[in-house]
Amino acid sequence: ARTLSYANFPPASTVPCVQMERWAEEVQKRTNGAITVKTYPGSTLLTARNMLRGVQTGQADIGCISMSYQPGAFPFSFALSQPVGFTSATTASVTLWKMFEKYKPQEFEAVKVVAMFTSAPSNLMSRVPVKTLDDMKGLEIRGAGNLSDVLARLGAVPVSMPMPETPEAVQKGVVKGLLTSFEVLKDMNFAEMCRYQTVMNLPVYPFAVIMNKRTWDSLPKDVQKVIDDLALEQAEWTGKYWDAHVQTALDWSKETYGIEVYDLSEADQSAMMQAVAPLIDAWKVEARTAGLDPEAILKDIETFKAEAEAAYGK
Amino acid sequence: MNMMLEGLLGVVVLLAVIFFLRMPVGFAMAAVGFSGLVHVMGLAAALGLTGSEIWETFSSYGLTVIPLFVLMGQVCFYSGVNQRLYHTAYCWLGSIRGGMAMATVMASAGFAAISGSNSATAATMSTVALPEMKKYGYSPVLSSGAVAAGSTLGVVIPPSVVFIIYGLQTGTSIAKLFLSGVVPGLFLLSSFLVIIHFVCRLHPTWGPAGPGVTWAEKIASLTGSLEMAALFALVMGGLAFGVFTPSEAGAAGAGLAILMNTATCKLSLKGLWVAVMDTIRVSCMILVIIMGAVIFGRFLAVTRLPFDMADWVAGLELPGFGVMLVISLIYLLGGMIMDALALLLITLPIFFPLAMTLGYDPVWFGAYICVLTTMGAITPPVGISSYVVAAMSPGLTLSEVFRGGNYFLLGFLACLAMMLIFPEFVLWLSGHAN
Amino acid sequence: MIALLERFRRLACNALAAVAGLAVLAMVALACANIIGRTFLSSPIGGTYELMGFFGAVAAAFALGYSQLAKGHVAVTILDEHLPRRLRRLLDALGAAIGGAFFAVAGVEVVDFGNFMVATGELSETLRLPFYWFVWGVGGGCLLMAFVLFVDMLAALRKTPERAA
Ligand code: NA
Ligand code: NA
Repeated sequence: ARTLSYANFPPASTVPCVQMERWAEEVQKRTNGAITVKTYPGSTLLTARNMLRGVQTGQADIGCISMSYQPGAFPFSFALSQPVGFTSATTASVTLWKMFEKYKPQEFEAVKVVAMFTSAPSNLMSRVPVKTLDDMKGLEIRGAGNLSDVLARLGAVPVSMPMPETPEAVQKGVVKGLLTSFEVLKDMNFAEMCRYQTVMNLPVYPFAVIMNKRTWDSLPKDVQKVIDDLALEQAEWTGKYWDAHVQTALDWSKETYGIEVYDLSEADQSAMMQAVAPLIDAWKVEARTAGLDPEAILKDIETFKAEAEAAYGK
Repeated sequence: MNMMLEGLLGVVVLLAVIFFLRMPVGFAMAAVGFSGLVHVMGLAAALGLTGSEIWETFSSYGLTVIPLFVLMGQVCFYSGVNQRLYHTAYCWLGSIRGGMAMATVMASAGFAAISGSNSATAATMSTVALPEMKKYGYSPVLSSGAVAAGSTLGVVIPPSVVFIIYGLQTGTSIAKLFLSGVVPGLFLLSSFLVIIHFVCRLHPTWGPAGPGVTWAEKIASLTGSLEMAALFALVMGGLAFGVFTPSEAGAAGAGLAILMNTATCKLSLKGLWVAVMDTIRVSCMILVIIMGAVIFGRFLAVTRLPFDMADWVAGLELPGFGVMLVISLIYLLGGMIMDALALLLITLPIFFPLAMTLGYDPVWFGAYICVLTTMGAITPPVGISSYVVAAMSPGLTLSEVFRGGNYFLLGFLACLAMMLIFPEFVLWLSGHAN
Repeated sequence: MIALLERFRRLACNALAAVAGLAVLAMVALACANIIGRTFLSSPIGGTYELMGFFGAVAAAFALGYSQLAKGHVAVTILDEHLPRRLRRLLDALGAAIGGAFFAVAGVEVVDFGNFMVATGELSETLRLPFYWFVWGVGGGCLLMAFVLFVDMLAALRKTPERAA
């Protein structure tokens, strides 16, 4: 039996690591034990910054990367980080995988992609009620990466502090809330401080599970087939798991802290989409520079998204 | 070879390198950790890991607090804030027996309130206080011991680098940790004063009484403590009212100290530059220790030694209190041979999870091991504060400094006992916040 | 020869230390401006956090050599009085050689890490800056530190005229 090492950066209890364990188990089962996978969660083998390089140079056979963590390096994947209105991790994950299959983008040329998935959409968690877009004006909100641009467009005061700083900053009121997916309400106990949630369906974070090219080439054909056949299923499984995890967190927060969840009005929703549209235009420029066709990419995302929504519900 | 044995071997090699090659602790941990990683992971993996770890440690936002708090302390030192504060303390205490030593300990506490580091406080107080005490005929054993012990208050009384690093590593609220240090810090301070009183009774020639000071002079001298009070109020107030985060407090404090002292012409641009150069030197030293501890810790994690050791302690099947005593003993022994910061960084991944499974409060545990490791700064043979005091004062031997410091260990032991027996002693202040 | 090397390293260390000092002052200014902007003007300075990290990296790495020359890195000297002087120097040289080798390897690796960022076109998260310049800077600081320790080793050896046991 051959053993492959699989490195991941967030703590073992998080969704990216749960899907890692599931993938490892499935591969082992479906190859009848010909392949075993040893997992290294929590940056024990490779850190987030060193993941892509570490897999390319063979420090780990397999690694999980978050493309929005390294902007510039993944212009194609960055399309999925645009505010295009995904409402669940399931639809976004399946769309991401189908987009990858159709385009085989150059940014992954040096590695073999074995799975892909996305986080749930980013939503607002706040210490004060935000029922309308107007309520967001002047509110200090923590948002990482391009989410800080989104916040600025919506009239909030974007604060891009690192995540480890955030609980204390929210608790002290240095920032009034944060914009990311809802599972942190329970996982990091943000529900205790942020009693008011607003569903905004802002961008997801795309992830890819990559394998060292030489490792891939050295695997027998039947093992390669097992791994390739697992990819779409893994995207679906992870998306569903993430969505269920978010629902659990919301239910728990309601029960424990009596949080309130608001939806934006139709008018506010379209106003929001209009306000963030220039960000998509900025991505288009970037994509063209990288030799991509942004119009075709966005159109295909729209098509795959509609298909996925028909299959899995909105 | 058994992985755990390799981990143990790594620790032995590290100690040998530190003692015989006299390599700075940070370099030694980095070099030994790297060699260990090559051994257990292979050259390519060890190289890649080391390169990225160095960049990630050096560029970590969380660690930027270190140069900022150090700068605040250095600016205060070069603009004479410490000296004026010392004068205030002297006016009130100089006329009683051992009073100068008491003033030194109190001035150290005041300086500790703005400086986050033992070494910075020890260096500062050595230059300010030792010549003054010599002038009044104080014994070098008492005066250097008082400076060394007083300087340890720098990491117990907030803000404190040790609390910041503990908070960053364990995800505990840094603001709560800061508050948890106040009561033990004040307890240590008062116990040091009592100890000086009794030492001077035993050896009346060690600390002769100074000339009397009139009440008018005493009152007038209070202005000398205003600047320190303003800085303390800004840092702690800004934290309490949510104006800035603990990481930003260092910058706010340094900014205010620079503005206050350059505006009143107490600090020239040249003086500011000297303070900045001292700051990069001190904070570089701290960061190198952290870098070394990160690389060495990575090696230990791969060998699983920390986990096995925690399992061993957990497997002793002692009651929670007994485990805490074993942990205390390990820190006490470790503190005798290692720097507090390095010891903390290496051992936290081992003992923090263990203490949590035993049901101890993370804030209490933070305060407890802060006092424990701090005590190591004045225990022989390796005590960083005592080293700095001896290094800053020609004509003073290391053993004299250690001998003076030993008297103050009683205060530490009393403080630790209080913390163990009455956890509320630590927690009530942080518990009442928010 | 060694005198020349020593002069060169002092110049190089002081030059980098000056940059490190400016970086620390820039950090104070940036963080204070960000606090004031956020609290009173509702407009914080975008990218403060990542810039603080980058400046902090430069401040620490560029201070390495300067700190070593100022004997800022505290070592444990407890056995000093018990070792023969000649052996002590030999051990000093060995210690400097090991430290120098580590920083040389580390410096090359950090520069290589920066090269990889150039190859993938990676940018910083908020400001989208090509921050590999800072990575190279940290690598450079490590390499200068290796040089400083290498000269330390030569100096320690030179002071031992005859071969020690
Ligand atoms: Na302090
Ligand atoms: Na000690």
